[in-house]
Amino acid sequence: MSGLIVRRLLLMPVVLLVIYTVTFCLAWAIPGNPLENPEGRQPPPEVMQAMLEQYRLDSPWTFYWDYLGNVTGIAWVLGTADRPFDFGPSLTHVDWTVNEILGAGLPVSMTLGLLAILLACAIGITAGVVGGVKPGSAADLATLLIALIGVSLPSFVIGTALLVVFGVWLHAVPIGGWGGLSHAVLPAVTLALPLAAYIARLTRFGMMDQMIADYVRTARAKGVTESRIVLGHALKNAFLPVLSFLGPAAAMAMTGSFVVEKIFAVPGIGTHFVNAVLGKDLTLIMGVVLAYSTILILFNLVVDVAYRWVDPRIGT
Amino acid sequence: MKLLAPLVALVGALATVICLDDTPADADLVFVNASEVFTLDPQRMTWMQDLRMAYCLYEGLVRWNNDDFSIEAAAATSWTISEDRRTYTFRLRPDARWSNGDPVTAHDFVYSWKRAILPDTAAQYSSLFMVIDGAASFFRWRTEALADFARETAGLGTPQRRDRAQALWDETERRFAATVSLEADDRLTLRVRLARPTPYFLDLVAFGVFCPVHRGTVEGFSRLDPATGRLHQRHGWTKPTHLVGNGPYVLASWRYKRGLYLEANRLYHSPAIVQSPTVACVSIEDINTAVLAFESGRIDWLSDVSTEYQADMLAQRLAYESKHAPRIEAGLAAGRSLDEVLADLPAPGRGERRDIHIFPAFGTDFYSFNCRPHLTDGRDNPFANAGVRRAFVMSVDKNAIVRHVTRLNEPIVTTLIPPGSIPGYRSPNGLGYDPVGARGSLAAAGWADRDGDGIIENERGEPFPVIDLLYSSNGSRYRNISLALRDMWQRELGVRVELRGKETKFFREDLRRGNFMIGRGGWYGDYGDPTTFLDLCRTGNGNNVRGYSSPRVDELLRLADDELDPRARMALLAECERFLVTEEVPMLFLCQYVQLYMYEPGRLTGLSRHPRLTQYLWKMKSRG
Repeated sequence: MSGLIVRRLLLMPVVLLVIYTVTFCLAWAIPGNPLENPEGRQPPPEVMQAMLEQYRLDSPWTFYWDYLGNVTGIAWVLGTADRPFDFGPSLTHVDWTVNEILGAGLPVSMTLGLLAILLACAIGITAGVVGGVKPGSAADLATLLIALIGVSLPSFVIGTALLVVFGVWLHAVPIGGWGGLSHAVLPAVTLALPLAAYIARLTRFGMMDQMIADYVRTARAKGVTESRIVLGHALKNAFLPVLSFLGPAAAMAMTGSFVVEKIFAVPGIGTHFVNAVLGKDLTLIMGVVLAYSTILILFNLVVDVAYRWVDPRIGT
Repeated sequence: MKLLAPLVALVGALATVICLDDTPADADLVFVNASEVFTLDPQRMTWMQDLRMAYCLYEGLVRWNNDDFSIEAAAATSWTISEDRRTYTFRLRPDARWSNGDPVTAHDFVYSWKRAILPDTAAQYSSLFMVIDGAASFFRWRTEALADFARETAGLGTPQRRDRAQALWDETERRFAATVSLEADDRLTLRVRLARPTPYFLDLVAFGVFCPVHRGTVEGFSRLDPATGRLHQRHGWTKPTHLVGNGPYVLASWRYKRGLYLEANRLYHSPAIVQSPTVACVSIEDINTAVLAFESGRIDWLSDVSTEYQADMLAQRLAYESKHAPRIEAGLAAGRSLDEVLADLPAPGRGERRDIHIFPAFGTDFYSFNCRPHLTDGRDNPFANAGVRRAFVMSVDKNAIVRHVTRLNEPIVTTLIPPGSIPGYRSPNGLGYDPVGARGSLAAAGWADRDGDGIIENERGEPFPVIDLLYSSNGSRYRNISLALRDMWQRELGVRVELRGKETKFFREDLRRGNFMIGRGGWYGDYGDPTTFLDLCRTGNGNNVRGYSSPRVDELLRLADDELDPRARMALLAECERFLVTEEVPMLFLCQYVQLYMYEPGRLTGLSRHPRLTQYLWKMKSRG
């Protein structure tokens, strides 16, 4: 187990370097000038040149190496930078550094994502177990139907509907912004519903397979109570596919969703994945991509470790 | 079961984290900007929402009366202008203080304006400061000196570079003092000499980028970069704990994508002008959510309602107005404002609303003709001929466009400068809708339907090239207008038009390269003088994407530059615009831009209706 962790952690910088290089090439290839005002006003060419030099945007080669040095902290060790792990100033939100943007947004996205994942697990596993234990029953059909709706309805529809009902009609929650549970409930539910639907389906099929397995029949023959069979034995095995889904799902949910953050005006980092690219904000693109990649790699590692813990047969 | 305890702990921790994240406090005035505030550094501002903040946090020498755009005293109490209209001497208020208690002095203005001129700051609006005598040559000198620095110090170690950068900076300071005519005669007297008489100089000085910054604070975040020799200025000083201003408000909090809170500045010299002691600028990026937030009663003012359904909202407003037309007319006749009259009417019923308001703005929506002799692929460009351009302008029914396509009923225009937006200037009349005249003009330019097949040809029988109509594909406005234009031109002129919608960045790239025949344009003015629009047509202007060049326009603008008599100057500029809008038409002017606001009439007061649409937040008040 520790060998796996060490190996993955050693591999991580290499993976991140490849991601950095590919992202840089793609981002640099976006046409246009990130410092340009989209409304079309052009500063005089000499001012634009000064701006490009100020941000080291005059040459891709210098930018690539300078940025790499700043992000990794090498420049700081060599004494040419003020601080380590510096993602640089955002090119569009000029008063903010990418570190500040990530520092302000990532905790929000992570909190919201974690809340959504927990909610999704609670709803999804319950529904999946109920359906999987008695396939074909009315309860099973109901959960399948709800799961189908949850998967098919896009979150901008669910989100807007929730906002109109609970925000405008019932005045139960404030609209837009962040701070306090009342702001977090609707976005968490919106984010959780499609995940819950997916988890419910995974759990249901897992449970169906397990409930007809030999060890369940043996347990029943020994007189073990049904609840103990379901929760203590079958669920543990049925949970494995859910677990492998949870890694990437958690990474995705915790780095924010563009749609949910936009609809509910959540100050996370989800919207940057789209807006930074549209604005060709190179430093911000690199920042969010590297943050997301790191989280994804770590979560996959956590899932792999958890897998071995739940099912010791794997990887031995 | 053993998982339950850590799960409960996790949920508890999450709930605590969310609850501890402080909820925004209520404010006397709550509004939503069109987009995030980008910077609070006045010298680097370009966006309207940023400048709106500049007028709260800082105070320039003078400011506009935002109802008629006359000039009022602000940080300066008085000013004198020399005989040759080139030297301005400002006398500052003795009682003005920075928010940390320091006195506001003429030296602060010298420092701030120098920042804007320095290429190191790369201020987008630095060109406005080039009216100051010596500023342009100083900018060029420093730019070249920095380029030389990079060449000469290649291969040197960091300590030597640092010394060289310092020596260059000392030389820069000396040069600025010697060559740029911007001086503090004493603590309270600022003297500026301009390169040439600039009748709109006071209007420029009222613009946000001319606001002062607190020298000590900014210098704390500046250092010389040994790698490039530049003065490197970090932006951390604009954050709440650091920012020092001299305006009616101070920055209480600014959190990224959450909002910005202002509190009345206790050290401001005229606290009575501040109508709302606290102001909250809430960040809601999605306009649909912002409209919902407004409808839930949380927001006093939405400053840009650019929803896809804005035309439907306006239709609801019209329905409400027509239902109460007699009472509205009576109220207006009695001299009351429209907002006051609306506030006294019964609440809107189903399908009606009175909280959406249309404000004509200081900008013109137009389409650009590519005026270069050849297209990027080397073909001859038919639009290089002014007669062809006139034909394309005259065959467009703009009324139909604003009524049925944009459905916003914007004021249609035939000129570049929005009518009535600049005191002392009257725009001439441009070309109206005249399809018959259009076909005549096209025939005179050598294009006519010679074989009766409905398609026009030149003398050699070659059909008119298929027109490449370029527009930006974000939002539906320009796609719809472009479709309407295509139909009108095909119907009236017998030409074929192909639409090319591109995402903004690609669109701009094509515009810059001249890869279009007709392209979506538009312009907002910066200052209260016709040149803020007419400069677009100067040969070689950076915003002249049309590649338009006319010796006569250049000459008229040059004459106006040198003209001392304000009326004679305005006459020259009017002649320049007349020539542009009736003879040369490098653009097809469609309509004046409008801004849609949302507020409850009678509840929010203090908004300016002048087309320049500069709203001073300190003038605004909500009756909650």
